[in-house]
Amino acid sequence: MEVFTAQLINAIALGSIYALLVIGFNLLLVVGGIFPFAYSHIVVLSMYMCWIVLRITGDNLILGILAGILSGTALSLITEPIFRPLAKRGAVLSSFIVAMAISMIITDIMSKRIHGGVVISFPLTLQGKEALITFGIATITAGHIATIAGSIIAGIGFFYLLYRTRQGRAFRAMGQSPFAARLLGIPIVKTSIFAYMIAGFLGGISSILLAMSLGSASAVLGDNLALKVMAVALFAGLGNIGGGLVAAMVLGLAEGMALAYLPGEWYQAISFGMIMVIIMIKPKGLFGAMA
Amino acid sequence: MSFSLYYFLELTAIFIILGWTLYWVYRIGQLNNAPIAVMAVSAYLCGYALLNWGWPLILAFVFGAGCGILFAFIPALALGRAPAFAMVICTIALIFIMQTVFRNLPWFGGSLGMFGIPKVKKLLLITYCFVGFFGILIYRFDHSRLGRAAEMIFVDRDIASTLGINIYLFSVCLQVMTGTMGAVAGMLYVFTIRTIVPTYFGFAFLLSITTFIFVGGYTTMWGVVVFTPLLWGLTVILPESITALRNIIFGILLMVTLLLRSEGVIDKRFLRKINIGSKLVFMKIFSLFQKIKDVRG
Repeated sequence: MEVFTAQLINAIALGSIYALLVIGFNLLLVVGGIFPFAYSHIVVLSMYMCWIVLRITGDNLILGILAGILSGTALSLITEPIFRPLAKRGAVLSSFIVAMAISMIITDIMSKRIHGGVVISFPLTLQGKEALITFGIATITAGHIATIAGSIIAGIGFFYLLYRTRQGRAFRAMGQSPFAARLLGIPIVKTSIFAYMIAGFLGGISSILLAMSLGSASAVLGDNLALKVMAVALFAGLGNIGGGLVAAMVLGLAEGMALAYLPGEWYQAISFGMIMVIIMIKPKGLFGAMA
Repeated sequence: MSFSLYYFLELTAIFIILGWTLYWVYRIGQLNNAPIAVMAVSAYLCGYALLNWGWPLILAFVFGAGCGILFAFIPALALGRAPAFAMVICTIALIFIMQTVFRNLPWFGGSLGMFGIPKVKKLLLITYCFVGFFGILIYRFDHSRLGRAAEMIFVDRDIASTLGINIYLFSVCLQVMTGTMGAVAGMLYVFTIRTIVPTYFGFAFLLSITTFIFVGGYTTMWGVVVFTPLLWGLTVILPESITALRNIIFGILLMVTLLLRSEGVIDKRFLRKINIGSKLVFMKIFSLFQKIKDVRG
């Protein structure tokens, strides 16, 4: 029972990060009109940026966190002009291939040009490993609380933006029909740039939360994360932001439990296999696409 | 023949087969990455039959191919109806799952893989025979009623169904066919390298093949044929300092191609131009010969 509780806490923390990633992914999919495969790679590159700043500044947490968030936002914005012509053409599958190319470049940079391709470790001060509450072997650390609280705050902020502001209405209008949105006078390019900025900002926050939760990062993390985020988005229904939150928590829980009770790396195969089966049975996702 | 030339020719042929596996299913607008996973399954099972059961080569080859085809068939039944993105994600997931499975099963050597695959005589000839066979098969398909039906599915699925094309059956058949090609490519790859390591059949491999097909052109089968030796050859010929940037170069090439020439370098218009150009050249040569004949006469 104690192992179960410990894994449940980890799973909720991990699931909340996945949820944040899926929000950013879906925002780019719906508003940007592209299939942002490289989004997770940008998040992992932001983790590397955070790590570099931490090293340079002698583990200055504020500067490190700022570097992660700002680099996430900046990197996401840089990709906007690359994807714009594809979004205009409505070439979603081509945007996926271009995103794959971007991911290939980012992975190569991380695997060969930063820290000699060796796995990077974040300082313990960032990870927040000190236990605040203990039940037997299960502990709730400052890192867990910061991760869950950070995800909830960022999520609430995003939903406030989406449903309570003019910009949010513009996002939703573009998601429904970019053509109608243009007729209604919504500045398509400006709104799209703003969507990339918000997605990048959420990605930057996710990068810090991932650094706290995992404690390390490697070049292959981008590919793994990309597949999970895409799978969760598809599992919920592409573009379905609310469904994405539920699906992310389900994946986090499944992965956490598989990690606790299965040997070796089988947890990866289990979580991917589970998602694959559901996608095969319900190809449009559990909650339907584009809600 | 030098060792490096042998490997270049051998691997180029295998990459062309793999490029065609992506090309063939993409003809109906689906991006099926499963052949890379099928490749791993057939390579491992063929290698296992050879090393652990001591089976003769041909029997092991047939066994590996059979298992690969079966492995391609089962997910194809479910993925036949799946939207394009569901197929992309499921088949990439399949690659990761197979890598994890082979990395964690002790019978297949775990992370270290399997070594000592026996040498196959005249492998280069066998490989190019397969390239020729699959090439003719795809060429005949493209220039048949089935090819036109595939084109219709690519352009508009709804109209294709209205015209009586069974898209599900089409998709399943193409997935199984490309699975077969993937299985054969996997075993040829193993006979060339003579070791099997799970990391071979990963995402990086898929990205390389994707670059070959999308830079070369995904609307004709010739894009892969021309650009695989060119791009793969570049990494062999260029100095090591530039080869280290291979993935960055491939990534930039892929981006630039898709942004500037959305159908790749060798598209249908390009082929038509070559066709017309070659006809003109032929006619000019013919008329020149005729003039010479007249002058002599």
